[in-house]
Amino acid sequence: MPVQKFEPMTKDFPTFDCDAHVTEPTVIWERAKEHLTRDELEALKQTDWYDPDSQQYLINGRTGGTLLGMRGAPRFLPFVSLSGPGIKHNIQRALNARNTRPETAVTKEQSDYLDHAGSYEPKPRLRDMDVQGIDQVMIIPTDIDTYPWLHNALGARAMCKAYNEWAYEYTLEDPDRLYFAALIPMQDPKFAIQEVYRVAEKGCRVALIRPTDAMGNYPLQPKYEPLWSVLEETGVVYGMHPFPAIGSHMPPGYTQQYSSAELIQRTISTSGLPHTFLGNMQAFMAEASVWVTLTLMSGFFDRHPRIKAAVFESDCTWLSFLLDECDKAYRLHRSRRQFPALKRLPSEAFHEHCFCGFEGDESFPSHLPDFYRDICAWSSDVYHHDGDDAWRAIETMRKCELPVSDQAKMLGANARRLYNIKPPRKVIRDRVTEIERPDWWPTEDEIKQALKPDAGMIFRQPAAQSAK
Amino acid sequence: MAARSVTIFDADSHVVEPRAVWEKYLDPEYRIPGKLALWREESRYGNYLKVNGEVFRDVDNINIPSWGIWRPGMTWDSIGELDPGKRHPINEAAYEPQARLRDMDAMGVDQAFLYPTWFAEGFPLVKDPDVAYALARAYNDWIADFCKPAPQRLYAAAVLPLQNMEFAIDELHRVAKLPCFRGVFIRPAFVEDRYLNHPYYDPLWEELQTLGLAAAVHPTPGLWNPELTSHGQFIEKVKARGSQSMFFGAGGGATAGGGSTIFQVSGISLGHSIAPVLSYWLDNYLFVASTLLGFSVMQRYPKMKVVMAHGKATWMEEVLEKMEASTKTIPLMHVYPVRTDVEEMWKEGHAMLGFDAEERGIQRLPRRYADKILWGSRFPHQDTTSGWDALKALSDARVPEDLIARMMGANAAAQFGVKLTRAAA
Repeated sequence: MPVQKFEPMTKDFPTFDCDAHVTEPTVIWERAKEHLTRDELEALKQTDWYDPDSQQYLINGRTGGTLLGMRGAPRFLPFVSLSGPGIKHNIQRALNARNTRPETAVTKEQSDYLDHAGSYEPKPRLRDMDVQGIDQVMIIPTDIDTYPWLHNALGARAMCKAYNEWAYEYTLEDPDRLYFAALIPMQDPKFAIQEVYRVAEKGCRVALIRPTDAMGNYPLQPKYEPLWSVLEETGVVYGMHPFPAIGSHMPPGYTQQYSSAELIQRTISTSGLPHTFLGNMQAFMAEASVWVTLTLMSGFFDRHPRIKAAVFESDCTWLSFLLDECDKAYRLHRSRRQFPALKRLPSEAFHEHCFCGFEGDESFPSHLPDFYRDICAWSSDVYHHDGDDAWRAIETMRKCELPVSDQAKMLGANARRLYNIKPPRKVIRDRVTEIERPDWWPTEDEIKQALKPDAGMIFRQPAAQSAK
Repeated sequence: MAARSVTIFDADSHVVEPRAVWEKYLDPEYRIPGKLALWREESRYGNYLKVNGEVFRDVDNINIPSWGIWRPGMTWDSIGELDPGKRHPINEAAYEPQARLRDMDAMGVDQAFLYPTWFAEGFPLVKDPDVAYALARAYNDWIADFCKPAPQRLYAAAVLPLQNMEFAIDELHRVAKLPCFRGVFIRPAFVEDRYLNHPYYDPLWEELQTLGLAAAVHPTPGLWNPELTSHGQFIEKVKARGSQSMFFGAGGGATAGGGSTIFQVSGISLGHSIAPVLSYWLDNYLFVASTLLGFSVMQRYPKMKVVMAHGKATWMEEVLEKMEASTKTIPLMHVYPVRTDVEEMWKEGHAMLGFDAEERGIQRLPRRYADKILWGSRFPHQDTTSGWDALKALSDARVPEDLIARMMGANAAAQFGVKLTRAAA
């Protein structure tokens, strides 16, 4: 049996993973009636429902695929529940390369092996966290591109309640290590406020809001002002989580741009050529940077001086110049500004109110500790495909010679400060250095071959050439 | 004036097109259709850009022309104090070469590479290829004349009628014979519902590689463009969401957010555009990610020189990290071979990014960026920095002088294939 080996590493501080994912399991819908009123349950069935008989998801009354349905099939890597312990990027490349050819494609058994149960069950997650060097975690749902498109506000509220109840129960397995971020029904500010109060009573630390204009609901509209006041009152953090603009559930005929992440997708869809990996680039930071800029420039934090905000999964390299650009824009337009003057520069407001997530392969926080030291919070993005463990982040930081005290802040203490969470009673100190793997595990030689440029090609002539 | 040892090449400077481009340089038979296809009007009571007969009005205060207001000695704070109720003229150095040379002297700039302003924002969207061809010739002839008074100091990006690749290649060969043209302007935007990664543009990359002219990529704010052209319009749309005031019914239903299912009144607006904060670097980032890397133009045309102006440089680190992860963890399905050693690929390529001397990433990691960046002033945009300002910022950050020399001049001269020359005192 192959054994996957890792370099020995140790740490003596507790990490906090501020953005790791669950994949919403069907039990959310199976048990929804336990948490919902009859009206809410009926609305949920019309809005966002899993039908166990047909094994299909119904969104806004229509049959529609979601990210959650993508698991356990031959020739498919379950990319939203994939990056468990040791499933490094090179391993994934090798498996993805196998899938370009039917004769080598992964089988259902192999796909099931890679579908990590920790993404929907807490016990296996805790075991995975031990291997991944993750002491504490904030769990975040996966189907983020669906929820803003739910038409029925009552159904959206029901979905949020059903999810939040399930997520809350998930964390009860070990409240010292597991925390949940709540879905908020932004379709109606009244419902959003009620849900914030409800989850705050359960100890929830963060409310998730996607910064898109889906259905015209960009989360800076004046109608949401009472919601932000409730976040201040309850101390629940404004958690801003972007996503690629897949738009699977846009209503028919909806042509307005709803996300700044749409453009990178459009470069693929308008090229006339198949392509996949590009959709993962720029999308997150495009949504995040627009929200950060508009929030800072509009004086949001002057109007809500007690609010705390977290920007998830969008990297943070861009922040090092964007805040300066915001300051510059404010200085240039002082006389033209019609909103109230800002009480402090945008960069100062960000440093006082905001945190930004970063992932383990991102080196800029380690290169510029003076700038990032107190505003960065590490995230694994586990179990999504490009997730990785805490050891990977520590490797990057050590390579950049970041002092251990700064590592401890960025990898855990900052997030705990943001959420007002105590360190765990027990700290993971040593890296697990060996994991037994099945016989079909990629060999070093296979990985080397898979990293070659043509390993990902499907052979088709570009349109321009075939037209000649 | 203080002394400096570094020769400065301003790789991102602008002209603002005068009426003469249309009224003198444009072939007479195209003057009417040319003005319908693309025209900039500035008057006492309102400004607009006309594209294909459609009028896009200025969204910002028209009394402070942000695209051409800066003069030597102005600071961002002094511009921020200008009276918005009073008309402020644009700097004549934006369209008059002798004035430009005087300002370059004052800014400590020896040589400059010039981009258009309104042709950058509107010309790529002109629909009629014949009219676009005529407009391109007119602009190129005008800018060639603009550069003539100082052929060792003034260089320009040519405009190509990419609306018809045949015309574009013909015009490319024409301008390649004129010494002032050291690159061709390329707007990183969607045109006719396709982007620069589309195979339609492959002949352009091929010709640029052969001729040794740079692809001079320069984004614009997109304030005068339809939605989904580039990042700018969407940013302005969601900015306006913050100005809407509900007259009553603070909740609303699922579609109430930006729609009209309950009565709304318009509130006070922010007072200025936000797109320029974001769109330049988001547009350049998009071009690098999708075209150079994602659709492997950089691999397929390895000798092509590319310059991406006005959009910061720090983000390149993030693109490479994201690319490295994405090529491995996303199911593979593409038609071009794509390298996974993206760091090496970037080093080997001939692409350079415009940077600002204030970028803290450049200041902290100058050696990492020194071979891949070139400085631009953005003259005469409102956020111009002079050569003196940039030198001071880099010196204060203790960037070694040999690296400053490359960033501030030598890289640009090499990329544009011109001799780096100090202007006479």
